[in-house]
Amino acid sequence: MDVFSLQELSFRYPLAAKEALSNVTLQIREGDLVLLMGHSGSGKTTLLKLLKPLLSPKGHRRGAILYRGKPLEELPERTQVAAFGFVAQNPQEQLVTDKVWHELVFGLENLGIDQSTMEVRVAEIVSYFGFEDWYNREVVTLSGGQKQLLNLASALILQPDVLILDEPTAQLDPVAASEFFNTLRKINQDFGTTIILSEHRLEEIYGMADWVVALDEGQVVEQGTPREVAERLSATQSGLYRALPTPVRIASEIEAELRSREEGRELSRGEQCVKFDGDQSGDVSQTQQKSLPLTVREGRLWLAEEVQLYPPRPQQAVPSSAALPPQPLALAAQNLWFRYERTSPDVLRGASLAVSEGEIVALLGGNGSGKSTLLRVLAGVAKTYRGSLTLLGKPLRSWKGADLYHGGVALLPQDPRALMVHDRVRLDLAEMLEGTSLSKEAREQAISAIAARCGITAVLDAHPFDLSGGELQRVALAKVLLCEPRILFLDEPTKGLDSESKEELVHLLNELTAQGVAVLMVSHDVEFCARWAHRVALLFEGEVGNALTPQEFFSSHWFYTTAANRMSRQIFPWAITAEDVVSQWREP
Amino acid sequence: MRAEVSTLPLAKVQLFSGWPPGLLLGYFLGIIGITIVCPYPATLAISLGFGCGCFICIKGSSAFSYLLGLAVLGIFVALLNPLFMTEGTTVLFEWGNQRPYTLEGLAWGASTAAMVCAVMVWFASFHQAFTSEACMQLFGSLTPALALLLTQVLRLIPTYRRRAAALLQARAGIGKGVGSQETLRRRIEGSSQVLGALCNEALENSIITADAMNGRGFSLQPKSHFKQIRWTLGYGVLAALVVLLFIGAACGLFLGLPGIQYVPTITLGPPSGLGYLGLLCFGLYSALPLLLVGKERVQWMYFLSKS
Repeated sequence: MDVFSLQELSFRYPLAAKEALSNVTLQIREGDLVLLMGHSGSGKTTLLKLLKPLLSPKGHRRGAILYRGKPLEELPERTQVAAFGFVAQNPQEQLVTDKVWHELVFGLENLGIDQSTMEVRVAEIVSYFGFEDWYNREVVTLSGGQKQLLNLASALILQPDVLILDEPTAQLDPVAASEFFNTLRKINQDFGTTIILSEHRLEEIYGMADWVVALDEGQVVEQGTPREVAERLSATQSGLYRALPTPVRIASEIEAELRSREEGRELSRGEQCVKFDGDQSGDVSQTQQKSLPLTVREGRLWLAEEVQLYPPRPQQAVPSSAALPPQPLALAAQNLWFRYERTSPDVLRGASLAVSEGEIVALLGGNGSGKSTLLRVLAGVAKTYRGSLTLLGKPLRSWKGADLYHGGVALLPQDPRALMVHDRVRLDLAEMLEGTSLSKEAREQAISAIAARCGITAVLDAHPFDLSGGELQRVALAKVLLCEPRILFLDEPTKGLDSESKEELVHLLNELTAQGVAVLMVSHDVEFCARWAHRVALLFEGEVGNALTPQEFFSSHWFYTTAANRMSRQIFPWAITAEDVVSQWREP
Repeated sequence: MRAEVSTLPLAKVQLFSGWPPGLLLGYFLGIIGITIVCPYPATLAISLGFGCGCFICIKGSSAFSYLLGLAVLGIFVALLNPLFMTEGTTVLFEWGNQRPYTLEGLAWGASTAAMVCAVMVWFASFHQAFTSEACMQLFGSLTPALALLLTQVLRLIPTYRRRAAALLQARAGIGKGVGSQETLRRRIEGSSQVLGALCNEALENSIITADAMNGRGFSLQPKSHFKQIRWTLGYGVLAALVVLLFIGAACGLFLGLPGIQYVPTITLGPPSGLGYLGLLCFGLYSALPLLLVGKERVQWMYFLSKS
C-alpha cells in the first residue's frame, strides 16, 4: 500500500509566471526512506510542504495527492498533525518554547492528550534519544545539532506515520549532520516510519535511501533506487550528476573512460565486457554485472576489482597540486592569544599563520575549535592580548579604522544575511560606496559592474530575504568586493549551498586570486577544500597546524580526509579528489 | 566503613523546590500582606528576620551583598524620615531653620524601613523560588495563550540579544562597525540600521515559527496541560497548615495587638493573650520553610549516623 500517491501534481504560486511543480507523479511506499534531490529552486520544498496541508502554501494546484488511497484534503486536521511530522531547515526558528521539556510536550498539549499519556511519551522519547541531561535546560543553550534533534524528537513524540524533512542538515556541521542521518536511519529501521527528505549533502544519505527522486525545474527527471538513478544521471550527464556522492562519480567516470577506450578497439572474445543496463551479450557467466558503488566501502571493493580487470596506466609521478610560485605575504600572524573574557579559557593559544597574495588557504577544524574567532581576530574585529599581526605589510596597529576595510580586508560571516540592513539589494550595495569620492553615476556604474561580475544583476531590486542561499552568498560577496579588499576572509562559504552554487562561488574566487587577492577560508567542507584550496591547515586546541598543499594534507590523514582518498588510498595513496583517481585511466 | 558526613552547606538549599505553584504564590502573598498591613515592631522583626534567613538559604554567600545593600537602604530611609516628620516630643537636635529632629520620627522611620526591607527580601526570595516552570504551570491552566506568550518571550529575549551581537560583529567585519564610526550621528545610524535588520529578521522568522506551531496543531482545541509539579497529600497537608497559621496570625494580630502610636510620644501597649497567639502563629508561618528544611537536615544526619 502506497503511503502517498501523487498524480500529475502541478503547483503554481500566486503571481508567479512559471509553475513550481509540473506533472509530478510518484508513489511513496510504506517504510521507505525517500530522498529528494535537486538544485535550489527545483521545487523540493514546495513538494514537501504540499504533503502536509497545514503547511501547504496557497496557490493554484492541479492534480491529486492521495494518502493511503484517500485524497489528502479529506484528512481531518487533528489526524494530520499527528500523522505527518515536519522538520524544516532552520533549527532555531522551529522552536516554539523556551525549555526542552516544554518543546517536547507542546504538540501533545495541542492534541489535548491527558497527563498520564503525556508523561509516558515524554519519558520514553527522552530515554530513546538520550536527552536526560538536557531535559530541564533552556533551549537557547543547545547547539545547532542538538536543536535539530530536539525538533526531530518533538515531531516523533506525536507518533507520526510519515516524517517529512526539508534539508534538515543544511545549517549543521558535518559531525552533527552525520549524527542526524544516523538517527533518521535508526528510526526508519526500528519503527518502519516512512521518511521523505530533501538534501544537498548526499555523501552519507544517498547510500541509506531506498528510493531517490531527482527534481529539476519542478519536474521529476529521474526516480528509482539509488543505483538506478545514479546510473541514469551519469549516462545523461545531467547537472544533477555533480551532486552525487564521490564513489558513484568516480566509478561512472572510470566506466566512461573504459567504454571510450573500447570503442576505439575491438572486443576480443573472452574479454569480459561490463555493461550497466542489464542487457547481456555473450555468455551470461562471463559477463560481469558490476553495479555502481554508493558508499566508500562499496567503492573500495569496486575499485579493487576494477584495478585487477583493467589495470590503470603505470603510475606517474605524484601530481603536484597547484604549486604556486612564491608570492609576497598578504597576511602574517604570529603567536596570537585570545580569550573572550578575563576569566574564560583561551580560545587561541599561539596561533600562527601566513597567507600569500593570490592564494586560497583553507582552515579546517572541529566545532568550537575557534575558527570563527580566529577569522575575527585576523580581520581586526577582535583584539588579541598577545601576538603580532601584519596585514599587507603593515602591522595591525598602524592601520586606521576606515582604511583597513577599504582596500584592505573584509570578513564574510557565516550567515551572509547578517550583512544586509536594507530592503533592496541595490541599497545594500550602495551603502558600501558611502564616504567615497565617487559621483552618483560612478557609483551606479560600480554597482552594475560588480553585479555583472557576481551574477546578481537579476536580483538587484529584490529584498535580501527573498534570495536563495547561493544568491545571498553572491550578493554578500559583491557587497564586500565593492571595497576592493586585498585579503578576503570567508567563514563557512559553502554552508547550505548546492553543487551548482559552489561551482559559481569557486569561479568568483579564482577570478579574485588571479588578481592577487588572498583568500582565507574557514570550512567544514573537506571535499570543497581538497579541490580548490592551495593550502590547507587544521586548527586544534587554539593552534594552527602546518599549512600544507591539499595533496600532502589529506593523504597524510586517516580519518579527516576526502571520500576519494578513503576510497582509493590502498591503491593510490596520494589521490584526494575524484579527478585524481579517474585520471589514472585517462589516455594521455 | 563510615560514610562521609554530608557537608551540604546551608547555602543553596532548595527551600521551595517541589512546592506547587499555587501554594507558593499563596504563601508569599500571605506573608507580604501581613508585613505591609501590620506595622507592629514584633511582627516586623519576625518577618525581616526569617525573610533574611530564607534568602540566605536560597542564595548562599551571594545573598550578603544584596542584604548589605538592603541594610544601607533601610538605614537611609530611617534617617531620612525625621527630616520630613517634625512632630514628636523628644528632640535629638535641631537643624536647618530650627526644625526638630525627633526620636519619634526616627522610630517611625525605622519602622517603615524595616517594613520596606522585609517586603523586599521576601520578594527577592519569591523571585528565586517562583521559576518559569511554576509560573507557566499556574498561568497555563488559567490563561494558556498568555502562558505561551510568556514562554516565547523568555526564549526570544536571549535569542535576540545574541543575534544583535552577531549582527554588530558582522557589520564590524566589513568596516561598518558601530564603534568604529567617527561621528555620533553615524553611530546612531549604524545602531538603528542593525535594530531595523533585527526587527526584519524577527518578523521573517516568526513566520517560520508560526508554521511550526501550526504544523504541530496549535489551532486545535481543546488543549491539555502538562503539569510538571503535582499536588500530593503531603503538600495538601502543608497547604492546610499554611492556611490555618495564616488565619491564626491574622486574627491574633488584628484583634490582639494594641495600636501603636509614634506621636506625640511612642506608646506601645503590651499585646493581649490573643496577640501573643497571633505572634506565635505568625512566627511559625514565616519560619515554616526553614523549619521544614531543618527537619530534613536533622533526618539526614540521623540516618547518616546510623549507617
